[in-house]
Formats: sequence, C-alpha cells, structure tokens
Amino acid sequence: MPLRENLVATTLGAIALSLSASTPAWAETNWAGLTGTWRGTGLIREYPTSVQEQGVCKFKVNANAAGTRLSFDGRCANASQSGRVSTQLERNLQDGSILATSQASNIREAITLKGEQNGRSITLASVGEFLLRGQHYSVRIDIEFSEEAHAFTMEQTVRQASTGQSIRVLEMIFLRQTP
Amino acid sequence: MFAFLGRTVLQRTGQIGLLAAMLALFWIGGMAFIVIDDGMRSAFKEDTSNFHDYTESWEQFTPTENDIAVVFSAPTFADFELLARVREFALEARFASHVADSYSIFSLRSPPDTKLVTAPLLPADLEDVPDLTAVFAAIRAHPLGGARLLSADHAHTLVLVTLERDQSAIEPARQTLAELQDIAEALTANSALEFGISGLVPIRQIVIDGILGDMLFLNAIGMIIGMVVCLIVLRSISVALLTMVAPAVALMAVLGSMGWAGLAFNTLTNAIPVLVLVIALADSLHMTAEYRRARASGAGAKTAIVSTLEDIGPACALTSFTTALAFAALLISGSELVRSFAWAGILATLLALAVVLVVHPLAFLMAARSSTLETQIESASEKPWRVPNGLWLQRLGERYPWTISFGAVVVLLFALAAFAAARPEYTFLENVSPGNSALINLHMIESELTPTATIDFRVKTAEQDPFSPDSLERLSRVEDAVRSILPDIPTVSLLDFVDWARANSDAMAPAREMFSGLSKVQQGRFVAKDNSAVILRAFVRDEGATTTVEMLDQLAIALERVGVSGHLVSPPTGLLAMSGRASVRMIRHLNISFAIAVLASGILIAVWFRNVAYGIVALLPNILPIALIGAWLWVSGNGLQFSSAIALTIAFGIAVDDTMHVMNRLRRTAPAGAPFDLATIRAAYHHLTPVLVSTTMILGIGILGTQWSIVPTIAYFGILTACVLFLALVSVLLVLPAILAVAEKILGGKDAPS
Repeated sequence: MPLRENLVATTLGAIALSLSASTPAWAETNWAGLTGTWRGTGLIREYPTSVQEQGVCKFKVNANAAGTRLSFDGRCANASQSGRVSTQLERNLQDGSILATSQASNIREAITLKGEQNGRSITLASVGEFLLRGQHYSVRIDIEFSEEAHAFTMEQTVRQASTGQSIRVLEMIFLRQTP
Repeated sequence: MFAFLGRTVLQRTGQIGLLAAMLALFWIGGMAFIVIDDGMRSAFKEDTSNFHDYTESWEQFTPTENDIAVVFSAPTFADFELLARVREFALEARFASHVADSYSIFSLRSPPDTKLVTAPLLPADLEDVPDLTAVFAAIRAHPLGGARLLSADHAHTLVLVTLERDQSAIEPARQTLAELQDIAEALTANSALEFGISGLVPIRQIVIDGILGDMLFLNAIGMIIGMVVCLIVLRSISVALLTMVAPAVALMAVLGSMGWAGLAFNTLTNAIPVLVLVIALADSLHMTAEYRRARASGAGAKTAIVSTLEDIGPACALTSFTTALAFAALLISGSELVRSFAWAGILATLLALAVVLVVHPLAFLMAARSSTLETQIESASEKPWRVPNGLWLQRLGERYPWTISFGAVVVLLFALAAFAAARPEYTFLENVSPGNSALINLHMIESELTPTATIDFRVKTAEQDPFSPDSLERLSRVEDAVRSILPDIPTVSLLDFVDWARANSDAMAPAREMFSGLSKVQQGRFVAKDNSAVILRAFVRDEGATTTVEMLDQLAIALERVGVSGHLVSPPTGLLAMSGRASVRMIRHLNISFAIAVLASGILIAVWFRNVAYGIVALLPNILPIALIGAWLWVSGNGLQFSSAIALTIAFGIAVDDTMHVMNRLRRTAPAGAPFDLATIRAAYHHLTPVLVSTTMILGIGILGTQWSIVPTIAYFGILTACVLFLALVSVLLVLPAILAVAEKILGGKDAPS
C-alpha cells in the first residue's frame, strides 16, 4: 500500500526523533539518553499525490553506550494502514555528520541518508533518489527541537524528480512516551 | 471383598494413612497444572468435514473470531470533537499489543481516481467538512461495510480491532483488551462519549474467568454447604467433620489427577468436581449412617467399620460403576471435548469411590483412637437424624402399587416422547451472563449496527485468479442465492471491493492494484491466502444451533438452485455454522450415549445382584426423573443444551445411587427365595429413608451453590440437577416401593432367574 512505501520517509523522521530527546548540547555529544519509546502525531500522506490524513508513529529507540550508533524499530499508521520501519544511524563524532540506512515494509532496497545537526535543528537528505509508486523522489527532513528537548517537530518533504514538484508528506510532533 | 478392604484398613492403618498423605501431596501438586479452556473451538474439534472445512477457512481467511468490537456511543457523532476522539482511538488501537489491524469509519475511502488516488471520507481536519450529515450518508452507503460501522441515527460507531493471527490465545488477548480499555477510557473521559467492548475475544475471557472462578468458588461453597447440612442432620460437629473428610479428599484427588492428566477444565468438565462432591458426600453419609447404626447396636469401632463397608460398599461401588458407565457411553462421541469429559468423568467417579471406601473408614478408625472423639461419636449415634420423614411416600407406594406403577409407566412414556421432541440448542453466548457488559454491548451492536456472527461461503476461484470474470461470476451467483434466503442481512465479499475500486473505471486493473495495497488482514477478508478461493460473509444473528442448521439447509438448497453447489462452493462454514452443525449432532450423541448408559445400567444391576428382576425393577425409578426433566426442557422451550444433557447424565448417576442403596439392602436382608419380601422392603425403607432424605437435602442444597456461578450454563446445570435429585428421591420413595410390591405380587416368593 502507498502508506507503507511512505514509511521510508517516516523512517527518516524517526532518525530525527532519536536526535531530539535531549538538549541540543547534550545531543551533540551523546545519543545514549535517547533510548525509549517515542510517539508522534500529526499529518501524513499515503503517497505524495494523495491527501493528507491524520497519522500516528511509534518507535522504540536503542543507542550504544558510546553514543555513535542508534537503532530503532517501530510503526506508522493512518486509519487504513500501518507499516513497520527499521533504521540504523551512525554518527561521526569528529565532523558531526550523520549517515543512516533505513528499511521499510515493501521497500526492497535500503535507503541511504546523510545529514548534520546544527544547534536545535537537524537536516537530513536522501543520497540520490528512491522509487515510490513508479516515480523517482528525493526527500528532505527538517527537525526542530523544543527548548525542553522532550519534544520536536518534524517536517518531511519529497521532491518528484520528473516534475520538480515538492510535496509535504509528513508533519508531526513527537513526544517521549517512556524512557 | 468390601469386608476384606475393611480388615486391611484395620490391619495396616499406618501404612494406608501414610500412603493417603503422600497421595494427598501428589494431588495438591497436580492442582498446579490445571488447565482452563473455554471450549469455543475445542468443543467441536472432531474428525469431520464440518470441522476440517472450518479449520481450512480459518487458515486461509481472516477469521472474524479475532475481531474485538469497540462501540462508541454519543447523542450524535455530528460533533467534530467527539469524532476526533474516536479517530484517535482507531489510530491508537493499531499500536496496542498483538493488534494486526483496525477498521472504522475513518478507514473508509473514496473510490480510486484515474491515478489510483483515494481519500478518506472523513478528512484530516474534521472542521473542514461543511456537512457531516452528507458525509455520514456516504459512509453508510459505502460498499465496504459502511452501514455496519455507523448507525442510522449517527449515535453509534464501531471500531473493529483485529488481533494478530497467532496472538488470539487467551493471555495475549487479555493484555490487548486491557490496553484498549485504557485507551478508550482516557479518550472518553469528560465527554459525552461512551464506549463498550465486545466480540468473541472478550467473551472468551469472561467464560475462562468464569470457569476458573467457579472452580475455586463453587467447590468451596459446595464443601461449606455440605458441612452445614451435615451438621444439621447429624447434630454433631465431630461426626459431620469426619463425614466430610472423604468427600474433601476425593475432590482434591480429582482436581489433582485432572491436573496431572492434562484434562482441561471447561464448561463441561467444570461439573465433574461437583459430581464428585455429590456422590462422595452421599456415599460418605450412607457409610456414616451405617456406622452409627452399628455403634448404636453395640458394635465396637472396628467391627462397625468392617460391617459398614460390607453393607454399604457394594451400593457405593455399583453407583460409581453405573455413573462411570454413563460417562463411558460418551466415548462414542466424535467430539474431543465430550470424550475428554467422558474420561474425566470415569476417572473422577472411580477415584472418588476408591477414596471414599478407604478414607471414610480410616477417618473413623483414627477418631476411635481419640477418647474425646469416640465419646462424641457414641453420643451422636444415639441421636435420631433430624430430617423430614419420607416414609409416608413409601407407604403410599405400597398401598397403591398397581395404580402408582401404571401411572409411573404412563408418565414415563409421555415424558420420553416429550423429551425426544426437545430441540438441541447451542450458542457460545449461553455461557455468558445476560447482565455481563460484553454481552450487553454485543446486543447493542447487533440492534444498532450489525449482526456479529457470520456464515462464510468459500467460492473456488477460476484459475487461481480471484479477479477473473469467472471467479466473480461464481461469487455473484452465490450472493444471489444467499440474498434469496436472507434478503435483509449484510454481506461482504470481493464483489463489494471490486464495485468500490471500479467506481471510476471499467478496467479490472485498478481493483487488482488497490487490492494488492491492502493489509494482509484486510486481504484475508476477501481472498484466500493461496488465491484458491474467495469468500462471501453473511452477517447473521446467533439464534441457536437448530435455527442455524435450518438456515444452512435452506442455503444449501438455494445454492443448488443457482448451480454453484458442490465443487464450486464449499459447504457454508465459520464458527456459527460449524458449531451449529456440530453441537446439534453432539447433543444428539449425548442423548444416544445416555440411552445406552441407562440400558447398560439395568444389565449391570442385574448382573451385580445376580437377579434379572432387580435390573428391570431398578430401571423405571432411575429413568423417570430424567425423563421428567427432559419433558420439561421441551415444554419450557429451552431445548436440550450441553449443560442439560450433561446434567441429566450426572443426575442419572445420582438417581441410581438412591435406588442402589435400596436394592442393595433388600438383596442383603431379604429371606432366601423371596427377593421382594414386603416386610423386608418396609424394614429397608425404615432404615434407609432418613439417609436418602438427608443425602438429597445435602446434595440438593449443595448443588444449588452453582446459582452463584458466573457461567449461566453452570447455574442452569445446578438447578436441573437439584430438580432431578428431588424427583429421584420421590421416585425411589414412591415409585420403587410400588414396583417392588407389584414384583412381589407377580413373582411371589419365587426368585427371578439369575
């Protein structure tokens, strides 16, 4: 189903989620404190050309002690569908860059993303394009942490390669549920 | 043999006591392994095409039994805020443990456009909807079950939450239900919104909890009531306590042995401990009565114990053997559940007999070693039993033997005819109290939204292609056949999905494409996993097994008429159809088994007493109480349910018990060559009537403890058994003396051929 494909994008959101649980200063040095369950609510599209719907995402996040690796597993859903996503992130502590690979139900290939953190904001972008319902897309994710670092907003925008049209596919607020 | 047993107990008291203590520990250990089963599916597990069809359907399609129905109610859902809360529940429910899917009005979407884009009928921002009433009309008209999800008055809406296929077992489902309850409570707090949870998943929980609660509570209350009545009748705390020892150990032995043997407790076997208590208590009381009589006539404790076993043991044994025989007759049933009930019954009755015959003498022997207890027993032995005098019934029977015997035969014949006309009835819901919230919610869903039970028609696909014209045409003919019999009931099939998917296109490709995007759970509501079949589900009310079977017969004729029966359509299945067919057959089997047991008991009695006349004479008072209750089942319209069929089988064992004690005493005390000697009969009744009345009182009152049961069928079983007990007493006090007197007149002093 389209939504399941869209979970690729949601996965990217989860990456951002994992970065958002702490104060920006802390987040730059340590991911270990991000372990826990996170829940996001907001708007989601089944696929770029469909209408926005209410959606929910939930992830379990686990980090290594060194704070360089992060993995998460979870699901996103609207009222019709749900799909599973799984992502692993690796951070280069020297230059602050982030490299991520993500897999979702129904997507055969893993998607690679790169990005960086800048204060309370994180930006990630897909490396190259990925195929969604016969169309090639690239994706950009913007995350903004709250002051308290117990919440963040995430916006995810895909760009259709053939038309250059940009479409917002995800807008969610994430909150930590359990540590 | 019984005297030998008594002497063995006397000679090896220490060893037997030690063995009993070790066995008690063994049985206590076994109680930890007791398994509870609601019997929803296992009741019908048998090697028949009916069950195999159901199993195949369960594996190939998404079973509706795994759906949890959460119904939300409000003055009207034309209220954005209330709608938003329900939507949040529908979304959150997807994340509850073991949940595979949820389906609600928010899942309904517009047909795909030319780019295969669909949109939810209720948009993200509900306040954007200019006219909710118009959207509600579209929801109710939606081909994929819209009218089942929103009531006509817009005051009720349903969210169906489907469990993962392998997580529908009781404990995972319990966790899911608790989480859904929490989510719904949080979302409906401080609003005009109300919710209720129902469906087979929570109802199964209720039945399981009921069985467990009953097992603990009913046995405890049975013991307490038994003790109280023993106290009243025996007028001695110590004698009452000593009398209760053997039934208590027998109960423990049966529970522990069932635990070790892996025999699950379910809505049938839950009655076994009650039966054990009843028979063990009756036997124990008879032995106490005989022991007291022997002591009152001057015998010492040891002599009294041996003579008690010698006098009462055979009747106890014969009662247990005939009851075990009644259970053994159930082994012919094709149902695994009924067979396990039979094995449990055989084990329980024989075990209880062994325990009573050993533990009762042991308890009184030990008591005799205590001077205090010995004095109390001696003192109690001189007190008359405080029970209503039933001898007047015996005198009546003796005075009008022909009239009463003839009348009893006529009543028996009429009662048997009425009994035979009683319809088998079964519904899984009969195990749930009418006041239970899950059942109330279910009735509300059925009256406001949709029937919840289904009859499933599996239609073979042409060339393994569900979307091929031939496959859809077959499905359409099946739908026509179903509509011809059940014109007003909701149905769902792939035809509805195709209608929706092709609303903006004549091509089949969009339907295939949209179908491939559905979740596996949703796909399984239309097409088999291996594409070999498609399914049409007709939503019907569960109005009892016989009504269901009649409906299935009509549907079979309708399918023949449209030419899609046989190899194209499997026989209608689903839990309702499968259990309906199976239960009707099983209840009939129970009756056949029971008839076999009754006849076999006559033979057993004749062989045991080495007197054919005894076997024949005992039949009428044994059958009459059962036949009368059977007739009442027909007159009342209740029909023959599992609980009543089981109650009659058990009650037969109890009715036999009364008769056996009379026949046993008669056989032992009648002059040689005069088995029906009137003076002996009078003496036997004079001796036995207080005990018979007492045991009936104890058992009747004890078994009425089932009225506290959470499971209505157990309570029903209890009331029926109590009635049979009363009728059995009347039968043995009134009808048996009359028949014995008639036998005396016919046979005179002659002994019947051996």
